[in-house]
Parts: sequence; structure tokens; C-alpha cells
Amino acid sequence: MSSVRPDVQPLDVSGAIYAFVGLGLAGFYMLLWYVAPGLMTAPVWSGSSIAWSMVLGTLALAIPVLLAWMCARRDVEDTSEAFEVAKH
Amino acid sequence: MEHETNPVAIFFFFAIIAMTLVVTYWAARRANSTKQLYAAGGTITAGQNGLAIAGDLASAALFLGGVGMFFSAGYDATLYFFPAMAGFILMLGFVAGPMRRLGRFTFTDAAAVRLSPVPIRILAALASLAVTLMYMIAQMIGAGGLIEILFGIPYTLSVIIVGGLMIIYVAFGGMLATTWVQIIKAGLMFGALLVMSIMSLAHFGFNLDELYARAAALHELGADLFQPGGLGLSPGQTFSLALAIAIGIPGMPHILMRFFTVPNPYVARKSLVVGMGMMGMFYAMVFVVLGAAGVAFITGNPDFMLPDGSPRGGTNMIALHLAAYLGGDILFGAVAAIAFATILAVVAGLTVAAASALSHDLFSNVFAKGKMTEKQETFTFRASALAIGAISILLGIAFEGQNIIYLVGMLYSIAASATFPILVMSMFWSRLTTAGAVAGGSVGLALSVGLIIVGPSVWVQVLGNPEALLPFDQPAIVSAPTAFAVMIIVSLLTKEKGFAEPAQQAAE
Repeated sequence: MSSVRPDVQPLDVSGAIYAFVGLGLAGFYMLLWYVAPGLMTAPVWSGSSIAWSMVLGTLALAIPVLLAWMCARRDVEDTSEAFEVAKH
Repeated sequence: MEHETNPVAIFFFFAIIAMTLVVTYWAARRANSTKQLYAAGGTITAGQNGLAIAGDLASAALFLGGVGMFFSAGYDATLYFFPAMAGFILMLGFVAGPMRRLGRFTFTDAAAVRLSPVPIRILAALASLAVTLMYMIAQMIGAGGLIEILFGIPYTLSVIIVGGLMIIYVAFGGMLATTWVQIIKAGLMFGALLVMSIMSLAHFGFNLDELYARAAALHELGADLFQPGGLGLSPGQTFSLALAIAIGIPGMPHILMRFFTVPNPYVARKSLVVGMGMMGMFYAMVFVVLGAAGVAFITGNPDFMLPDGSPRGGTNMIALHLAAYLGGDILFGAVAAIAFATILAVVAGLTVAAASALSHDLFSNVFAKGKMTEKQETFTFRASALAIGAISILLGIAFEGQNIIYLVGMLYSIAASATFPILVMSMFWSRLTTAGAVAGGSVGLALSVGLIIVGPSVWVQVLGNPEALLPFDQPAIVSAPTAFAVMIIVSLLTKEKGFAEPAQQAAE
């Protein structure tokens, strides 16, 4: 049985932008490891042993959550996209 | 300190088993259709699914392996954490909504919408099985080691116990039981991590500086404990691992299945944000506090270390040693039982995914051409769960002794090279042909599995060969781009000859 081939899914532009920002941040963080590792281990301020690496690492975990929240906060529920739509 | 006869641990252990069996009994009375078995009826809320996603992802391999890896390699343990956060955003932006819109029970449903379903289902099911079985090996190893250290039960018997429980959850309770086991486990685990973090910091007057200074003073790496490079990976290997995790997460079949348990794409995305927030907290507690605390409190402590300087039970048990140090037998017993519950929950989710790939993708839609009755397919699902359980027990025994977080890294390579390319290209690239998808997915799957087999972890440590054929374990940097490239080239060289509706739709 043949039928018309379904179209591709519409791209969620803002979702894609947030995704690439998240990937870009992760990539930048990776680069820091190898381009400027000294920066990441330098003390944040005199007398403190908290390293840049820990601060940046924490940010690398926290920023994506913020990005995800920003990405999804304007989602509007579309009841036409209900469970029963998918039958294949 | 020996843990074998800890009565508190035994009490929590049986309490958790009893609780999960009650949940399974409750779910089993409702699990009388494929929709219930595969997707919990599609009635799970965003908050519940977010917790279940976190319960699925925050595995014992990550918890035990993550704290253990910080203990041995320091800061490089984060290589398993921050790429995952990038992967979640990728999943949110590209995968979650369309997946829920297109799919029904498995991610293969979504991939097969625009392509010839039979070859795509065969390939995607094989890729799903490869990923889930590899993940299950990691969980089984963790479970075997955990029960062995808790009760003194031999490793092999421990693995069989976990496998048996897993079969019961999935075969009788399906996705509904699995979801609630994951929710319960996520709540218990995050509570335990929070308690351990607070108690660790309390030892230092809630001063992170002092915690880090003590860890650095005790560890052989010194201040380099908080510096990248402890794993000794080359930049290429490091990037390969990070890439595997970032694009492997959106291709994990057991996580993708979770989007079918909610009513619509909106709830699917919302639940992922909830799950991501939970995972961010999980990673932060392990990375910021518990990793360093493990070093600070366990290093050199004769209660937890062997005379040769290695930790009792291996590095995977550092988190449990830390619990024993912080809270004695009660906290140790609670955390050990929660780690055990974690393994059960994750393994149950993996079994649902693997059994669905077998029963829904292969048996129902390929071999039976979509003509199975509801009763036949529910039976096939349960039989598949039994088979997957038996296989994972055998693999868990064969891979005894592997560092489980390494295995997690390797399975992400398979997902990044096989399932993710098929999924994202089928949903968003209009020129993708079935030939292109099959060629690219096959190459990605074969290349990632093949390179892992000839790498040091399998070729030397499992198969016992003296030297690895290739010096690295993380093939994603090669296999994932190759899969995409083959997919694109073959699609440009071929044409989709007519479009056949999926067999099941035709049958309906």
C-alpha cells in the first residue's frame, strides 16, 4: 500500500538556537581545558583555594538548565497533538 | 570496615524490594494492553515523567562510578557530566517534541514514518539492543559488586537476583511499574545525595575551601586533583568522549521511550526540563561536594582502604564508604539500598526499551508485518523481557570487574553513532532515503561496536589479549561523523522509490 511521503518535522528555531548555544558553551569549556588550563586552576582570589575549574565546572552544569528553562517556558499546549495522533 | 553483615542495609534492601514489588503488583493489574505495557497508557504527568527521566539517567553507574572516578582521577570525572547537560538541550530543541508527535511506543516508530519501515525497524532495533544491553552490563556489574559487599553473596548469584527482579518488574508491570519504580528511586536517591552533601560540608563548617584543601593534601595528584587530565586521555580522546555523551543522550532508546508516556509533545518537553534540572542537581552534588569528600575522608583511612592503598571493593564503592564514614551503619545501609534501588530502576527502564525493540519493532512490525493481535503482542513483550533479562545476566557475569563509568561512556558512542543519526536525519532532512539511513546507521553501529571491541577495555581486559588493536576506547569522534557522512552521501546517490505506509498503519 502506497501513500504520500510525510513531510519532515518543522524545526523549532528557538529550540535549535538554545541547543547550539548549549553545545557552544560546552565546546568552549572543553577548549579551556586544553587552551588555557592554567586559567582554570588559578585561585579566584588571594587566600582562596577554590579553583576556577570548580567555578567554571559548576557554571557548565547550571547554565544549560537555565537555557532549557528559557527554551521551554513559552511552549503552548496544543491539544491537537494528543497521544492518539501517532498510530503507526 | 567490612559491610557484609550490616543489618540496617539488609532491612533497607528488603524494604525496597517489597515496595517495588507492591508497585509492580499494582501496575500489573492495569498492564493489560500494549499501550499500558509500552507507554504507561500515555497518562504520566510532566513532573512525574521528569522525575522518571532523572531516575532513568541518574544511574548507579554514574553515582558509584562518578564518585569513584573523582577519587582516582579527580576533575576529569566531570567529562561524564557537562556534555550530558549539552545533550539534554539538544534533546529538548530537536528531539523531544517531534519524537512525541511522531512516535507511538519506540523511537523506531518516529524514524520509520518517512522511510521504508522494515529495514529501518530492523536496523534501529539492533542499535537499540546494542545500546541497552551495553548499559545493562554496566548496571549489572554495579549491582553484583554492591550485593556482594552488602551480604557477602557471590557476584554471580547477585547478578542473577537483580536480573530476576528486573524480569518481574517489566514482564508483569511494564512501563507503568517501571515509571513508578524510577520515580520512587529518584526521590530516595536525591534525598540521600543531599544528606551526604550536607554532612560532608558540615565536617568543614560548610567551607568548601577547607574540603578541597584537605582533598588536595591527601590525594597523590595534589592540587592537580582539581585540574583536567587525571584520566590521562589525549585531547582527541577527551573530545570523543564528550561528543559521544552530548549526542548520545538524545539517542538513548530508554530515555526516548519516556516521551511516549506523556499525553502530548508539550508535556514531553516540559518533563525534560524537569528531568534536566534534577540531573543538574545530581551532577552538582557529585561534582562539587561528594567527589572531593570521598577523597578527603576515605584516602588513607584503614577502615576503607586495603594495605596496598586501594579502596576495599574497588573505586566503585567509594560512595558507600563515604556514607559509612559520614553516618555509620544507618547511612551506609540506606545509601547502599538506594544504590541497589537505582540499579533496579535503571535496569527495568532498559529492559522495557530492549523488550520493546524486540517485540514491537522486530516481532510485531517486521516478522508479523503488523498483524499481531493485542494479546499476542503483550505476550511477546513479556517473553522478550524474559529473554533480555537472561542475556543481561550472562553479559553481567562476563564483564565482571570493569569500571562501570567507562562502560557508560562507550555505550554513548554507540547511541551517538547509530540511533541519533537515524533519528535526527529522518525527522529533519527531507532528502534522506531508506538506503541512506540504513547505510549510515549500519556503518555507525558497526564502526562504534567494532572499535570498542578492539580497544583496550574489551580486547585486553575482557578477552584477555595482551595488547589492544587500537589504543582508545571512545570511538565516537570517528564513528558518529562517518555515520552522518555515509547517510548523506548514499541518500544523495539514491532515490526513495515510492513510500510504503508502515505495516501496522495499513493493518489498522
